[in-house]
Amino acid sequence: MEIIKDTITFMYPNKLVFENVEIKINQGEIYLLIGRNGCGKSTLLRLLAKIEPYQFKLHLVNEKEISYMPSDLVYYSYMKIIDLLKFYDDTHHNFSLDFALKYLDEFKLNPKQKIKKLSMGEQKILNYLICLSKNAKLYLIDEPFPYVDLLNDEIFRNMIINRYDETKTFIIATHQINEFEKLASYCLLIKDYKTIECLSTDEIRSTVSLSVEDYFKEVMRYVKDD
Amino acid sequence: MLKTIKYELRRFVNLYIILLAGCLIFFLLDFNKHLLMLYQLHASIIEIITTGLALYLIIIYILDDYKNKKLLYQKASLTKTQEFLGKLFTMIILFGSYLFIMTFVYNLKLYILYKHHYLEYLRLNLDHTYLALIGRDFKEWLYPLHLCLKNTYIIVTLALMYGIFTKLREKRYDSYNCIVICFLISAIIYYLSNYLVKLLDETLPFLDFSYITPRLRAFGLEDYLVNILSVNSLAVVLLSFIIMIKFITKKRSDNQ
Amino acid sequence: MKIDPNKSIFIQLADYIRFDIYSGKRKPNSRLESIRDMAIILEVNPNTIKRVYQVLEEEGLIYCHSTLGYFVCPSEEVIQKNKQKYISDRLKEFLTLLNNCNITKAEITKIIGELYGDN
Repeated sequence: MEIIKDTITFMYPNKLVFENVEIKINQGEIYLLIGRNGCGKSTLLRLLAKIEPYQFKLHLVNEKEISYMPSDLVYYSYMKIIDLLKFYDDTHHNFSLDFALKYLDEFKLNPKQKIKKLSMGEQKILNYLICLSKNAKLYLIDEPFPYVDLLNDEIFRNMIINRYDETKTFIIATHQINEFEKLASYCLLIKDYKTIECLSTDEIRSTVSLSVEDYFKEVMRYVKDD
Repeated sequence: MLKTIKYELRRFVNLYIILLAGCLIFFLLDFNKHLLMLYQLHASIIEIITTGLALYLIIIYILDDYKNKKLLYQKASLTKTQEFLGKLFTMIILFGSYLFIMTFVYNLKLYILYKHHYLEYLRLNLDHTYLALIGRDFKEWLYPLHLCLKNTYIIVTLALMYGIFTKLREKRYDSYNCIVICFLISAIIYYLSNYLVKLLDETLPFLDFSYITPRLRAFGLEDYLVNILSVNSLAVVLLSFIIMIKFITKKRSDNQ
Repeated sequence: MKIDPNKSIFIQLADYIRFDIYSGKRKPNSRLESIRDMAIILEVNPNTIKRVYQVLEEEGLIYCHSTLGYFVCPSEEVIQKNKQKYISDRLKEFLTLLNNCNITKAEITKIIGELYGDN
């Protein structure tokens, strides 16, 4: 069952990002979104999250059932961790404060700490935590892994599995392909502004005997710049 | 909507307290009797700070869009209207309360110095030209409200600008276009309404508009441009001008 | 168990469970981890695990109880039969490969004898 099936053409004032790119997202799958720097991963996520003003059809999921994690944490500078969590609890009906507090504990973060004093990694963790604490149908996650240590990465993966069910779809954009490829069922590879390849991760492994990471390096190494 | 107000207010609480404390300290300092300057100086300070605060809040809210802070509310269970009203009421609460507190302190200081003569003092020290031209009966007890109302008027104009901006953003207009349009519309409304008050006052003299914009009634249409020199209007025009230039340059580079 | 990201995870996982059953590590009628638990332990996509379970169920090696989860087949006989077939299939594949090396049955038997002799 598709939740998104469309052709996207999108540009910023100075740059063409996508031109007639076909995109198909199925429900209940975990997607890995990969591509070189500047190819439009973040833009694609913003489009799919309905943050940029761009029209496309979204099936089975309505706009409020999307949980988007931007690559930088968004917060008001006066806030402590618990303030931000309470904010989401108050304003988002699908946010689960219990889920958030439970994992806050696992990550060993102190709720009374000021957010602006947190390290980059801790902010990433909080960002990710908030995104997954919402009970949504579509999760769009932009670069969760930078600055986060390997043991915490494990907890990240656990959180996804715990949240996962057949009605939920995940799309995770990352450069740390190896951290995540075993968990992903499909990979969306942005080759250039005209093509996004959608491949099953297991198929890549069966047919070419390469991990997704190695496949990506092979494919992208020789792509010509237009 | 109340929840929005709760969180938005906390954003500005520190600044608010600093402004309050600053102004109060200033009022406490100059406790001598050379008070010809008192009315003008103290009133101007209150005016500048409240208008500055209003402008600052509006700019912060507009910039929120650029800095991604809009993401906090984007997927919230609130409607856009609730979010907007929450922010609007936050602004109103902040500068409304600041204005009333400082006006009260201002009047309190004058009262302490002049006791029951204080209203008479106010009357004597109002803008002289204005008094001469008016020559009408004034309800002296309304004088302290003049300051309040004039600033409330400015506040409403500024809030209107913010309102227009958010509506335009909803209709997916480009940010630059939004800012230009909303500043220009509000500036036009501000000037037009000033003129309207003057007109109404002339045509319907039995309605007493004296308490709305006393100072403006002193100016003829030709002197209207003098109004531009007041702090509030200057800010509006200046900002619109800067943004228009940026807008034009941007459009030019797009077409290249 | 370490999953190799260079090979099909589906096949690795299926083999992993299979070998546990063949070797007796997972006893007949013993309960398999739930799909979610298995996914957490191995950090693998739950859909892949579901497919593995489905395939093993089709082969009769495991069965699904609607509320209690997946269990290993109770019949030792079925397990043995499945094991025979599996080994036979894999050997067939390998022997087909060996055909290209031009190796005789006698040579293969000798090598097997040596390997078992060493144990």
